[in-house]
Amino acid sequence: MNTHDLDYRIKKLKDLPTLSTILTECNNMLKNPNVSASDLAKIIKSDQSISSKVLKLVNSAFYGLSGKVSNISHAIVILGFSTIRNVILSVSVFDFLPKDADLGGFEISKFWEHSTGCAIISKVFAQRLGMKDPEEAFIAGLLHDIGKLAIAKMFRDDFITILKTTHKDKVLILDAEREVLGITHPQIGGILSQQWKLPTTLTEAISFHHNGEKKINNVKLVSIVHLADIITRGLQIGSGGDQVIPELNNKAWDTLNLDIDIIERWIDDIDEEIDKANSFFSVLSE
Amino acid sequence: MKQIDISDLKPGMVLAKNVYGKSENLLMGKGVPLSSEKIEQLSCLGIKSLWVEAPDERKEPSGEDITKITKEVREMLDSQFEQVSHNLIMKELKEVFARYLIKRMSR
Repeated sequence: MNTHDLDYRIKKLKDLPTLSTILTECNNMLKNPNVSASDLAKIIKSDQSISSKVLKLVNSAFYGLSGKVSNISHAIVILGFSTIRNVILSVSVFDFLPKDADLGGFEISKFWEHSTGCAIISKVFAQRLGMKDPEEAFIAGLLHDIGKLAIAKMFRDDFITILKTTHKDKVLILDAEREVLGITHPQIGGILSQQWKLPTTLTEAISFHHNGEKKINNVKLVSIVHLADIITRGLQIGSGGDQVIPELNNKAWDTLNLDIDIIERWIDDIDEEIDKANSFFSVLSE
Repeated sequence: MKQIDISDLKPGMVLAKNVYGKSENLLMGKGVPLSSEKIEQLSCLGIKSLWVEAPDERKEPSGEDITKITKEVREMLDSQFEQVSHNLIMKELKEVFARYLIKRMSR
């Protein structure tokens, strides 16, 4: 891998598909304190495919409103603006790669199962650690590996080589990416997150979920996603494409100030939540 | 084991077969006891009928089953954790995962 190749690849990332314009419009609207539910509903309704998925999702067992929400305005009032924004974000990223794409044995449904599991565990841990925005932790968990899909989409052949290296050498995808591509999925995910103008805290969680960094704003969120990724792998929920587990980062462990007994109790508690996640995931992967 | 219509499901019944969604993803595993919430969930997912265990059929896993499950779980985790076994917290986490997986798979 020479510098020229790497530059070329980073430039190519600029051609990545943008997320739905609805999302950008929602983000802009949510910055305005005077925005009403009907203003937001109008924007969402302008995209038929997104609005029908949003309705299906809010009516799924995941949000516990089974079958009771018949229109978007109603959904916004019940769930609140920021949850709806996260629902739209989830719906948009699930369309990022077709679920039947041929990627040398990489299963996209397993990938999303892993991501959804990580999202749920991040959210529950954020709640129990008293973080003020557990929904943000959910989205951070859901998107933490989005860089892998970007690699699969933009550099398909390299991605297949990465998977082969991962299996042959029994290493993390991260290490194989470094060897084959010279750039890793957290780095690419971070670039993508910036291009999509996602909040800085999300970009950090995506960029640093494998290692803590000194100059980040929300060390706690990054640490939660890092631990949740390890737990999701250990509980064998879905698959991110590799079969080994990353080592726990000492700094993340110290930041969270947890002990093994607490983790074991919380894992037992989330059994039901994980079953619920299946409904979230199955609506989105239809 | 018998196949029954979703409308005849009662809380407390136990799934006798895995339930899969449209994209062949696992929605609920066999052995899961059904709560009213889970029944509603299945109904919302468009499941029409499924297999449940007849009340006298539900067996506790035998000692032999548990030994087999334990062996499978241990082998899986040993391979996954091979390169991080020097880290004490990872070692403890591995035990937590093993207990959880053995319990879940024995249900």
